[in-house]
Amino acid sequence: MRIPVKSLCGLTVAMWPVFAGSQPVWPYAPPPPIAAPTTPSAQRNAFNGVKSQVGWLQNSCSTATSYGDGGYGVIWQQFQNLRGAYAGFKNTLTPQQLSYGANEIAELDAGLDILQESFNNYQEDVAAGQSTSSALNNLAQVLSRASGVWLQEFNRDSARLRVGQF
Amino acid sequence: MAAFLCALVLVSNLILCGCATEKPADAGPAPGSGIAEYAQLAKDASKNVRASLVALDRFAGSAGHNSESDLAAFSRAVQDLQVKSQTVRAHAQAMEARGDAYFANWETNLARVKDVQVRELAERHHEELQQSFQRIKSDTQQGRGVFKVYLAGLRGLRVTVEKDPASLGSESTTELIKKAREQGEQVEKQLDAILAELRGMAAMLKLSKSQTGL
Repeated sequence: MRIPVKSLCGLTVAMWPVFAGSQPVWPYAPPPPIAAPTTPSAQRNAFNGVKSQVGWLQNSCSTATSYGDGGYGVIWQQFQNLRGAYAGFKNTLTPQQLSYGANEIAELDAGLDILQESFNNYQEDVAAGQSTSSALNNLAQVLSRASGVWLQEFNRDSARLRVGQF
Repeated sequence: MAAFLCALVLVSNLILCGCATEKPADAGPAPGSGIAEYAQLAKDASKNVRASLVALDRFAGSAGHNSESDLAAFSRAVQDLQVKSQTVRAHAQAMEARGDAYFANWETNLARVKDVQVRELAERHHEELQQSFQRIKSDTQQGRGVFKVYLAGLRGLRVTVEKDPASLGSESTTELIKKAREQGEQVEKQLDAILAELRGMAAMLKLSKSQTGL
């Protein structure tokens, strides 16, 4: 029986990780990442996604105390969802918008980092002896108001960059 | 037929490429908009820090009352400062993260303003403007650092008194208050330095008060 040379090569490549005793390695280059569409409608959808996520975050802040000790986790999760929605929004911006609005984007990025500092403050305050309910109350109130301030900046910058309008 | 289709595709591509290169904002920025925006933020920040220092003094003056409402008012003042300072802190952090590119963006905006006189002055004073940018960057960086310490001090004070309301008049708490006040005043000084630098830039570009609010 004749075995085609091509099949042998393929088999060798496929079995190589087994023989080598290393972790299996996909023998082909990974596919290129799929770029998010940068159309006006994609931008509008992503923009609305960020806005509603801020709403969800503020909602979780107003109900957090009713979850007891779990309140912190609920707010944290909603904040991470906001980060995700914002990252998705940035992916829909055109190279021109990213370049023209580089300062504004950096300010919005920094704004989210500053919001996240509220979680560190909570941890520090609890470690310093503040009761978890009082620390959670502070976290929820600060984050709810501060995310509103961040949203105002987000709206203003998006208008400046003509998000969804070009 | 094939030649016609090729020509159609070529024309469509040209039209589409034209659309893609359109600038996000067609109209030139208002003269000195970067200066005006940062000046407004610095002025607001200064006002907020002053309000927090007043609240700190009022709280210190309530020693011996052990009143829950005094603590609640102080706690609200700390929260206010945290929230209202958010935008200026974000700008400061972005300046630090982007470095010179942040100010290059300001200069690009100055080069795009429709006012010919402002454009010419910006070109003529390029060197001085660069030096001003560097000083603003440095003052902002220092201000941001001191502000962090100030806010941490206020939060620490709040936790201390929350745990033991009677501690407000104690020596150690009085020391905490004194330190926090010094740090708050230091933040005010940094903000004043930034405003003075911005005023200098506005003068170089002959920008009016209505254009910058300075």
